[in-house]
Amino acid sequence: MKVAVVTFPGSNCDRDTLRALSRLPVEAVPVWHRDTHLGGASAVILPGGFAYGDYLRAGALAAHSPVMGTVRELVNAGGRVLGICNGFQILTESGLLPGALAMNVSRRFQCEWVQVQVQECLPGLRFAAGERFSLPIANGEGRYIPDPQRPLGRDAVAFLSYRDGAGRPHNPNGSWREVAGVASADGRVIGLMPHPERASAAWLGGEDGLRFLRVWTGGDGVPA
Amino acid sequence: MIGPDTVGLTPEEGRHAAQLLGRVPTALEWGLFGALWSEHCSYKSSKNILAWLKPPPGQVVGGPGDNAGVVRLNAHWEVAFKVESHNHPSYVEPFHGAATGVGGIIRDVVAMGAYPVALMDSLRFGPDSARLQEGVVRGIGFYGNAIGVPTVGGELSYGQAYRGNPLVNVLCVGVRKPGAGISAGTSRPGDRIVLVGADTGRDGIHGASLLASRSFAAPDAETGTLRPAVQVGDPFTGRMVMEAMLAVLQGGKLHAMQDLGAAGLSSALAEMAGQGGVGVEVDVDRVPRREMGMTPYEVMLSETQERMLLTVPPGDLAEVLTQLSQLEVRASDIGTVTADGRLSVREAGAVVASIPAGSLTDGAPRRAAPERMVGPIRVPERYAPSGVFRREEALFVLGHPECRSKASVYHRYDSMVQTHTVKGPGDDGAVLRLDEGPDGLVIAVDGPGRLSACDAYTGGARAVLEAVVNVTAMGGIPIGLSDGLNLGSPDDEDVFRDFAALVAGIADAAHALQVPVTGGNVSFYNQTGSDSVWPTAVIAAVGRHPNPEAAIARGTLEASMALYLLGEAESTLSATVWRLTLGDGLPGPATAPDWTRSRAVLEALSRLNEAGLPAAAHDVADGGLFVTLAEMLLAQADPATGLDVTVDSDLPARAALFNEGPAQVVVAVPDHREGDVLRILASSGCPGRRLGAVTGSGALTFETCEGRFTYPREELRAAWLPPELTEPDAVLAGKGDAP
Repeated sequence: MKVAVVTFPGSNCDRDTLRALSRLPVEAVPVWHRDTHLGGASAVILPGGFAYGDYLRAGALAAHSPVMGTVRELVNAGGRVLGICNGFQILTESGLLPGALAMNVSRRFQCEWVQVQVQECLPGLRFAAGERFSLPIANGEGRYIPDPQRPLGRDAVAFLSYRDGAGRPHNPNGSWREVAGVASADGRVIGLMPHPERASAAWLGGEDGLRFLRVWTGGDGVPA
Repeated sequence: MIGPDTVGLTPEEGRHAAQLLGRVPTALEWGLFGALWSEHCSYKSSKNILAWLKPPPGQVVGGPGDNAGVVRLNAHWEVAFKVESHNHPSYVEPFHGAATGVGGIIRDVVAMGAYPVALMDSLRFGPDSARLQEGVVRGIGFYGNAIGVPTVGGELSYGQAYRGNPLVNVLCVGVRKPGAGISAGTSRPGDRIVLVGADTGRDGIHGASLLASRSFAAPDAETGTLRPAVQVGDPFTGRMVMEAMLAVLQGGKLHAMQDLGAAGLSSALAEMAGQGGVGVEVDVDRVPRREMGMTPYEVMLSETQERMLLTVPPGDLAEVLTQLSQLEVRASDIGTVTADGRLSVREAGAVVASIPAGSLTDGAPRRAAPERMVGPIRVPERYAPSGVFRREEALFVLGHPECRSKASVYHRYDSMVQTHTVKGPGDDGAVLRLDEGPDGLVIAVDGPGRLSACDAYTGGARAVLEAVVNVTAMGGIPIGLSDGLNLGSPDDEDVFRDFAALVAGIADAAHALQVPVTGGNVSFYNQTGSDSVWPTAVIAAVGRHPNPEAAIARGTLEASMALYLLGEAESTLSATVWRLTLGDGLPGPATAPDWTRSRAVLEALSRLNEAGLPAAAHDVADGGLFVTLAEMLLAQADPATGLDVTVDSDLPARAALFNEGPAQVVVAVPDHREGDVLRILASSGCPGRRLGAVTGSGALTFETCEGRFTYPREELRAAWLPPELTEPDAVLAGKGDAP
């Protein structure tokens, strides 16, 4: 499988994502936001960071980058896109996922480890309902707000939710119904606030993120 | 009318400038002299004293005088690092003052050709400075989080002496391949000078000469009028410029690189010319502006952020400009490197300034150094604790602002971006894994200003010792130091004496511990009226970690482990956090390090590390042994973990629990390795004793000469965590947004 990782001006997790993918049996290629091709990739990751500085609204300008048209075409053709953190914000700004990410209720940037749980199985991917991942978050605008015109449950689902260590609902930032990640009902478009690439080695504090990326790239969830 | 007085020069310096040129300087030339001869740029008061810190030949790759110091880590990497202050801007405009402090030091490291891999901050505030602290913390996060360099630790401390004089010191650490470096002084005549990054505006004019190089007359009186002298940070452009500069450097075409910081283009060009023994001639009309009608004076002295300079042979200019354009950063050819040794500025074809570049840099006036001091300058009075230890006072010390958890601050910084942070904030130091080679990096900062309150020599020496101990406690081998020195006005003889003593203490400590000082920063005028800060040395230490991946497990305690104290407790409580709880704001004198014993403790700790023995190590600092052990306990994921220790029965309980004597470290080692531990202690000549054991009690228990005291984990946690972090999750439930 070939995965493209897009660099927008101001992306800062692009290299981290490429490095995490290098630990999996996939080919990963960097793509610049002005590119209108994805190097033959069948899946694309919009990584974390502060595209264009996020001075307007997180993800708002990046949603209009040339590469986003190509990403849309890829999805229409049956390809997959994963938006991580700022990438999730870009997916909601561009309408590929419903809802919006607003400022955390703490009104602060928060960098910490969280537990998330798969709420919905997705077609074509071997995420198991109830499967849990321990992943870092690092964002100031991570509070998911649903779109009343496009509520979850129709074309998109609440894919991941925040949990505490014992598996009970837990809310680090005030997200609606503890939503940590959203997916299109067909599983082609996924956005999540936590950073799987930051949990891709034992010495980083855990490998759950690598497991997440392995499943997303078509593998199964058995720990390495 | 612009003259010596309007640019911050003394009448004598003004006469000297006119003599150098043999004529009355032009307005722009006055501006250049004023900026470059300012304390902030010229180090005129400090330079001769800082010479005491010069490292022995061969110990560093790049030393004092460069944009950042450089030491060799191993065959794969060199480490460029430096501490810099942004105190005055942060007081005047906390958010942008702190943000641009982060941006400025990152560019210093980039200018050495190194990729920035970590930041740490050392912050000092007066009591009741919540608004100021909030602005500074927000500003640091705003810049550091967005530019994508992890903030992997730091320190936050308070004192009456910092009221009206907050300190914001930032450390940036970068890595580069051996031989891949660049510096400011390697231009050749004929090279083109290229300005990269943000368009130049009117922000920050006189930042160096007026804002950073004098004291405030009274609290808050001038912060409004000086606000335009503070620059504005733009981490987005900062990241674009950082990535672009390092990318074009890899092409091998560049001759020299220099960041634009204090005094903007003036200082950057003077440094390039002065260090390189060449001249520079720039045409201000070619500098892209953000505003209409800017004069050459404004263009040359603007401190607009996110700008850097490079020089490139004319034949390679087009290629470099094309590459920068593809990377979406603005770059302009603004002039040429000459052979005449002068800094010349043209406007509309006419020369509006022409000054021998060396007279602006090395030729700046200097103050003579006093005789080098050796040893502590005042004999400490022993503050003898009297009275019986009460159980609650331990919780009071643990919850003191100096000791309590700083998690509510460091969770606001991205400590994980770049995915190489093995140990981040909350430990004695940070551990980073690097992409190539076996070794990792250990980083620590320490700036115990309280220990300088009565004796700056001791404070400087203790700061170095603490930083070196912390690197070693994280499993590292210290390889270099950088110093951020923060003092009041050097025009005050007492302050100047304190400065000399502080530097002497650092120099003696660096010599005693055999770790080179690679450079740093001096910030004077941290004084409002007659109130100046404690002479505060913020020392950054970097070290080599032979096995960084294994560091992830460091700190995890199990019930089969024994605890040892390396070093010796002392009987005084002077200069401790316990002493601060008496509430009179006077810490009292600190104990100077005994170098023989300090070296023995470090030797023993290093040899324990080599043998892979410590499962955890934590130095005894703020709050004494009690706080050290409480922090070790609270770091455990398993709530059943307990510690049962017996403190030195020759000391009163208070002294045993709260003394902060130099060079004490607690280590946890598997119980069955006691023989190995004792052998290493004996052969290192390190005093030490078994403190007790890790238990399954879920509590911290002390046996003292005044009885046995037990603190359940939850009681410790409640004292250590500030209220905002212990709020129930229900507060954050955020149900209000459901449609």
